[in-house]
Amino acid sequence: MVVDGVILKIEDLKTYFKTKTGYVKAVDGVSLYVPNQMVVGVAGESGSGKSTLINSIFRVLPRNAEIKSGRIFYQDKNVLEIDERNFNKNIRWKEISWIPQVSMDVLDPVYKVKDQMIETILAHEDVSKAEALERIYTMLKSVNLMPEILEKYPHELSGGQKQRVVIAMALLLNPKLVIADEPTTALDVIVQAQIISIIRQLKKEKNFSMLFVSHDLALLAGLSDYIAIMYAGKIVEFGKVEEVYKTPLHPYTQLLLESIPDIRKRGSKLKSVSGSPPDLLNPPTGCRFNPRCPFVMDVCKTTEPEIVKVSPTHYVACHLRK
Amino acid sequence: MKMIEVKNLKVYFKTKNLIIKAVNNVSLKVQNKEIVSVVGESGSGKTTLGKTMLALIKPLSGEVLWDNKNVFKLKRRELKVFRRKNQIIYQDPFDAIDVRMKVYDVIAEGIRLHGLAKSREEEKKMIYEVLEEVGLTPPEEFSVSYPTQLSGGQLQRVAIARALVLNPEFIVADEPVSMLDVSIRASILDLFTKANEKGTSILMITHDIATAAYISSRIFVLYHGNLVEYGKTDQIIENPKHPYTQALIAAIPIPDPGYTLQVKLNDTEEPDPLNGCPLYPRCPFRKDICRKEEPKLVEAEPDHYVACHLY
Repeated sequence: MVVDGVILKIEDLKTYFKTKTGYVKAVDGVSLYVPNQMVVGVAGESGSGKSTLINSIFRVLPRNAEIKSGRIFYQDKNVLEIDERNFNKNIRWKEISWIPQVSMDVLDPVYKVKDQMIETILAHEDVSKAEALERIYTMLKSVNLMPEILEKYPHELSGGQKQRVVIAMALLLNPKLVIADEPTTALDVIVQAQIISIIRQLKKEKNFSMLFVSHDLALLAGLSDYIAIMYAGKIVEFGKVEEVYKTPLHPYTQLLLESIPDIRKRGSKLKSVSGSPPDLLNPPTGCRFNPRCPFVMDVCKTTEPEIVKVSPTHYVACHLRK
Repeated sequence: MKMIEVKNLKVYFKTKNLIIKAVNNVSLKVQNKEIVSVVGESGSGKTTLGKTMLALIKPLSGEVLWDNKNVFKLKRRELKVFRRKNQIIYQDPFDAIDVRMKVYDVIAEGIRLHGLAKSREEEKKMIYEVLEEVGLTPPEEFSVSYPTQLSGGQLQRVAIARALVLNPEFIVADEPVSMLDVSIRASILDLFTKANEKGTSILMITHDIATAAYISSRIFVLYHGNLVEYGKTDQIIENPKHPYTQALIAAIPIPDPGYTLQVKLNDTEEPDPLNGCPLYPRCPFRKDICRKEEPKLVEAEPDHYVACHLY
């Protein structure tokens, strides 16, 4: 998967978690790219490895995680080879920023919003406090927050307000790439719609690229230019959003799309994927989706399908598509 | 025959310096063998309403009638029958089920408490049958599992089996799929549809009006404890009257590339007015009267009611 004008390129990334009973293969050979100024949506269920993928890029993995192989190129630099000090000073937040889930509680409970926002700027840039504040006020305005919020502590904010603060903080340093991990999950639908429209607006103004992880295929449809479908630590399908939604090729993608309630087609029957998500300690051999796949063949149980190109921008990993 | 009816129900919670009106003067009926949904944001009072209907919370005023008997005045024996025939399914099965008990005992507990099986053999038969009914096959295997060995979806099936084995007339399902993966939600919702086909009425509590639209015949929309609109599913989805319902529907993501979510309410954190319409601060169509006077439910068309000064 190599194309020109990509801001982020991931090659064969393997991130495993060491546990008492063995390695959990959370991300197992993922290759992916984010074209410049595009939004790439990553869809997957819990345990598919999508958060681990994001955390590997931002380098905020827990201690028992090990990157077994792979390279993550941000522009031309392999971020996995940069030392932590350098990464923190020059890349994290400044070039690549991160919008985590609301429930992650990234805001420090003992500092006022103002102090946390100022610190974000001053840690990376040599500007005066007044200049920093100026920038913060502009940023708050674009996420529809009143300046009074600066004097508050995180626990005094609603979920929607907190997420706006987190978005504002992620964009304070004008990053070129924003990685978002379920930024609207756990918010009410109307608040979610507000946050998404803010993100779209900011994207338009600031032209950053985005990697947007969500379990919600419906939400990703309206937001993304490209979509990657993850299952059990692997990308099973990748392509332009129209390609994946209109002509899904992987049985998992097909079933997933038929399992989302669409208010316009409420007479039809919802489908579901039978079986349970795989155990990543002992993933199934062959194609990882084979125990749940309605089209399973013998080869699926023994040989892992490679990801193949079916159009210049559409890739799928399935034995049916060879 | 009317199964469960709620009349002018008020449930308030008192904290140190304020009173939270979790359910504010709500009336509704769940007809026999019907699936209805209660839709609203977090904090709209939908869970409180559901729990009060099962006599798990005492209201400040108003009544819950079960076959025309006030459930808060049931005598001991009647209450036990009420408890058996009216069940609840919670959002998080890991919270709702004792993880130290085997699946068999989780389900057997209700059977034993209500003395529904005459022998151990019969009990076993009931448990195996209900496990098969909820798709946990082979039952021999699942019945000896511990909850921690099961996935969230499987455990939710156990919670549903535990309720179904008692042959309930009515189930309150409180966000039963919102913790579960998208790919298995439909199969869990199917269990409720099947139970309904066998005669159980269901009150589905959900924040997701799209799910409500799929499963229920009528939808009730709650906002900050108030019933703001209700009607048949088609009426609510195709012809929503209340600005809040309209906003809820416009905010649902649609799995179609190129669509844009619409935000139809004001983006504000102003508090609700004391006496007026609770939506006043966020409502784009607000008038002066909305701040002063609470709108009452009026019939917009047959079976379709809305509480809004626009109508």
